[in-house]
Amino acid sequence: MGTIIPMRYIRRILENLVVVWVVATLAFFALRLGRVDPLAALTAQGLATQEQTVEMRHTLGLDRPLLDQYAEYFRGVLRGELGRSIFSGQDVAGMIGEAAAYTVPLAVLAWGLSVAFGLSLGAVASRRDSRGRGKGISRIASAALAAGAATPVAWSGLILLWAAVPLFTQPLPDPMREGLRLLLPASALALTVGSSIGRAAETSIRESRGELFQLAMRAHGFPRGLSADWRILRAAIAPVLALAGMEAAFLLGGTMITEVVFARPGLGRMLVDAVLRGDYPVVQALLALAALGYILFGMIADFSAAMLDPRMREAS
Amino acid sequence: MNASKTRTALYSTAARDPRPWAAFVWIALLLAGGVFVGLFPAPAAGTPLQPPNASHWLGTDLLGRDFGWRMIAGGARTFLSAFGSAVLSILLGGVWGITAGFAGGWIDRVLSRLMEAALAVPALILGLVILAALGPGEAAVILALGLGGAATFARLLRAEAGQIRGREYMLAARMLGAGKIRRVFRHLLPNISGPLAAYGALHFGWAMVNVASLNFLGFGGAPSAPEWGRMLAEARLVFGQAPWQAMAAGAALALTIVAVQQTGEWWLEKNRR
Repeated sequence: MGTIIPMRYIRRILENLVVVWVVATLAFFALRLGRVDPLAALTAQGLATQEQTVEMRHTLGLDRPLLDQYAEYFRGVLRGELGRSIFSGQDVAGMIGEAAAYTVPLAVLAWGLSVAFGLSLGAVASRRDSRGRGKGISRIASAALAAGAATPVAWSGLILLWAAVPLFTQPLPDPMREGLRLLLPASALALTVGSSIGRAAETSIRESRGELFQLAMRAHGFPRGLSADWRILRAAIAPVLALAGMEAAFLLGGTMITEVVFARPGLGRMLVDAVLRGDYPVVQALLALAALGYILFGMIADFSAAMLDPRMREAS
Repeated sequence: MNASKTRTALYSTAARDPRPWAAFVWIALLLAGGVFVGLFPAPAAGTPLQPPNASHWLGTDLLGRDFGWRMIAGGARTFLSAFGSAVLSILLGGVWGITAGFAGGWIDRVLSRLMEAALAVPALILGLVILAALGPGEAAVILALGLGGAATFARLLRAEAGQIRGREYMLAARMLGAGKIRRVFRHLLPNISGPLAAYGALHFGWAMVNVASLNFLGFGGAPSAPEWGRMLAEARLVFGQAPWQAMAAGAALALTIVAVQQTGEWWLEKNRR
């Protein structure tokens, strides 16, 4: 790495901003050309009369030509205004800020737990030869990862919640209670996400053990102990991290479910409600934000992969 | 090479690795059960939230419907929804990727750019954009996941098609006067069908998770039809009184996803050899 921020990162950031813009645009037109009409739902539930709906449509600007609405929306976005919720009238940016306080700690903790859990169990599971023979413990780890990766988050979350009920009925100090409220959904998420990461780590570490650079290391008299293990792990972690970045996509779907199961008023639940009701400005903002978050996770993963594996640094 | 030579090929693979066969049996039972149950009308609703007993093996749900019956009927529904969306992804991604890989030139450049753009966002987000437009419903879920997953296959098949395009037998077919369409269907497709089926099965596992998740979240529309994800959501509401319902729905879902994944992995490994 010659300079601190190489050109290719700047280029990537710009490209990714275009992607986020495309997602927001897609959402904008899909919602307005689609079948979900938020105001029709209001009349159907008897919350507004026909005339009131027409009037609301006018105040919200939904009766204007699509391209006018689009231009207006993006002028707003450039000024940092994301619009207001059709249903609550709240400022979308403010809503996101409040909900993010619930989602960001959950996602960060779940991701951290996933990587730690996945890497360690994956390293244990990888201690087998290429024919699949190996110690009992590595087989158990391997099977546990396969089962964990297939566990629906809704289910594991429900079981964890149920198991923790006796804990919540105890008189606990408040910080501990809050910690549990965060730890439970994060563990449910980490079980599934971490297992997927672990499965990738298992393959990657096993392949890395067989690589030539290790033979060379040993031929040069490098001891086989801990420091050699670290070099193997370091080379194997890079592709796993790339995958962990991709798994952030799963985290996104997973947070929607855990927030519903654990009744956390976070971004995932906000997105589910907004899509179901057709709350245009909220859906647009959240989908664009999700794309942005996914891209950021991916970039962090790639960046750290380059820090860890010397070969990747030189190749790019 | 020694004793196994005398055994039949099927038996020897099953003995060496019973996992895919167990998976096949489970999936076959699931589908057969769904068909069987579909032949009869749903049993009449009785007392709500009965515990498991002789006439209702898994008890009854909040509306008094037989939970076991709904589990069997719902499994086939979840499975077929996921299957539909996976097939949609493969077909769409297939046309997209093979056209790009086979045509080359500016067509390839345009189609590849589109692929990159679609792959830059998670398939689930693209699916949610589609769901936001279509509104909740069973067909909407299938369509959303099918369209969302198409780009993954497009990239895979573009790479495969690009590799095979330059092979000698493709050139030979061309020299013998085979047209583009014939070369794609008679020479290209048979040669990539192995990896395609394997990735298809792995993708199918993904589709299954997401069909159930979207239904769990309420994107599936009409609540009367049984579906595992939706049933898990319903069972969640009565978890205190009838925990076995959520356990059954979740376990069945997990088991089926494992079965599909194991089959896909086994097939992928088999094709690598």
